[in-house]
Amino acid sequence: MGVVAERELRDLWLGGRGLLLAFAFSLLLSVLTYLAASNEALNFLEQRETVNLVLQVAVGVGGLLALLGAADAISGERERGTLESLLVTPLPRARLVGGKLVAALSLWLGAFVVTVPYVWFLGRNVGAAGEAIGVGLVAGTLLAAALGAFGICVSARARSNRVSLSVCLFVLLALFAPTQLPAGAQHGWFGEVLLRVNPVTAAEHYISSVIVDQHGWTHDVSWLASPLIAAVVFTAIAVAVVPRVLMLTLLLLLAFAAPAQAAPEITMSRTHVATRLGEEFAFTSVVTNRGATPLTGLIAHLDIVSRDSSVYVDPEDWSDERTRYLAPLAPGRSVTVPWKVKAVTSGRLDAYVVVLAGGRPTVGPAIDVRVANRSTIDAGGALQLAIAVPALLGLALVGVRARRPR
Amino acid sequence: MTIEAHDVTKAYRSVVAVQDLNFAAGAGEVIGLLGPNGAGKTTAIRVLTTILAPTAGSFSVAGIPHRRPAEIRARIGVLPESAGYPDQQTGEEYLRYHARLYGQSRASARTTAAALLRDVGLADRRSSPIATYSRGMRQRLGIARALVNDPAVVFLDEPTLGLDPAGQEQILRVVDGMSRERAATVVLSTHLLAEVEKVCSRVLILSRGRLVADGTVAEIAGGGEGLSEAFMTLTEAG
Repeated sequence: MGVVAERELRDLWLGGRGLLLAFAFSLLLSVLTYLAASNEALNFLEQRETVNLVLQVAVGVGGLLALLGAADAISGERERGTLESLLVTPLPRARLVGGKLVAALSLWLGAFVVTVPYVWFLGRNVGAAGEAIGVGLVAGTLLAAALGAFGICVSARARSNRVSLSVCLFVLLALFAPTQLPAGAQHGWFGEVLLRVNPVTAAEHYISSVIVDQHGWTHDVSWLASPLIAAVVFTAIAVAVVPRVLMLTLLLLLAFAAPAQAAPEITMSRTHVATRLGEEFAFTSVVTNRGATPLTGLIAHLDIVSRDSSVYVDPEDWSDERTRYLAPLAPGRSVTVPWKVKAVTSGRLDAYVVVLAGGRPTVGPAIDVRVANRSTIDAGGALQLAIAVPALLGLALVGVRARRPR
Repeated sequence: MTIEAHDVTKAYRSVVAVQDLNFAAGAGEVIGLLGPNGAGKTTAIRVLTTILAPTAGSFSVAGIPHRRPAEIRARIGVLPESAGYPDQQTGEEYLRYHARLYGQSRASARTTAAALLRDVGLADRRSSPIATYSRGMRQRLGIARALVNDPAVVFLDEPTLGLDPAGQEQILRVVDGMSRERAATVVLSTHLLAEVEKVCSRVLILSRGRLVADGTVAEIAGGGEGLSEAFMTLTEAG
């Protein structure tokens, strides 16, 4: 198995997302099966019709899962910023796309495995279980392959993950729409063409034909033509064309995305400061918009850290005005921000400015701050000194007076 | 020479992002690629890493001409700008996966991942999900990923963006190690002039898609005005 497919399957199934979807799907089938078996409104269905109903739901939901998994495959990587890292490896693009497609199809296979016990339970007494499992696997796999490959094609071209998922969901709803047509409209020649060319309705018709009408596997096999053709065509496009489109789409996205990602440029008026404890020093930082679009929501913030891990620095003590809210900056314009700082800790420190532009931080170069220690008076012994000196002088004075000749 | 670029130009329709880029770099050199936002640094890196095809001109990387992009990709390491990471994978899983994308066996990929995690100081976090990594740790993981194939040339696009001074220092130490211990050519795109002064043996300054300076830090900062002032003068003039 390919490296990409293996990784994708591990992330999907061992990461828990696939199992969560399978669990939710099993709840749906449980409710459906229980109602079909016990509810008076539903259990009038002939037993084969109940098997058909559950199988149709499994094929529909399984196809939906494959489509949604594929819709996220490329556009999701692009939005998470992981696509470029994959494109700079020597891995052939077709293998990348193929691995993604395998992972999407595994969601259908997972849904199908979950369906098997329900189908067996419902169909065991009428001998429909085996053929239901077989026909569901064939028709469902063709449909899931068609939808999964289509999802990959959309995902590669979509400019965002949201667009990719929206387009795929819309197409799937459009494909299911003919099932809501009145029975009369489905039986004319136009209705039959409509049902045959639509891979979803064609696959479901074939399943009904085998399970409910008890036709042989080959009797209505022509109904599988459109799911088969769709699977082959979209898989071919996904594996042969998408790898080339992948590069083109990335190129266009980069070209259009570049101006929006512009970050402010920060320069500092000083690179080094040498001062003494307790003294003040000043510097300025210049924030420049080198991008093509205005920068808004600008906040400049000063921070100071010690290079010595044993020295704690509280920046609040250094400056009482460390945060500045700046006016929007037009392209090419600059703003100078003055900073006034008092050195309250000796040692080797770094002062730097962070500018938030629309919530995205940019860090300026750090100023190397060296603060020399200042010698201070040791309070210990001051009292004794304060008493002793005058006392000694007093004694000396008394002594001098006593010896002064009168 | 590990990189040779001759009149490389990249245009998006009528917008010329990089124009007539000419330079050469040798093994073990650390090239600082400087320029204001929109100067063409990232586009230049994307062309040289074969993500984008040049509109005109030619180049070779690790002695391989640009017409053979798959071979170039096998010999380079890249840390893209604003690289993302799969949060649910551990650092070790991530590196093993990328090592296998370069054709390494499972055992070799495991060895490579362990060695690189040690090199970038993440050995003790090897089994933690990437979601729990700080920005600095993610950047170091990204650099480790760029080294899984023992590349001849490494391209780092803004590797210190958004990091605090301590994080910037850690990244620069790793970059220094790449050129000294691996003899790899490093192309380092950055906004921060101080880090260029610390680790780069040569500087290329781009302004509006054109190369406006190519030389050592001392040559460009000549006249005692400093790299910062020289940069401002060159990019304003460009």
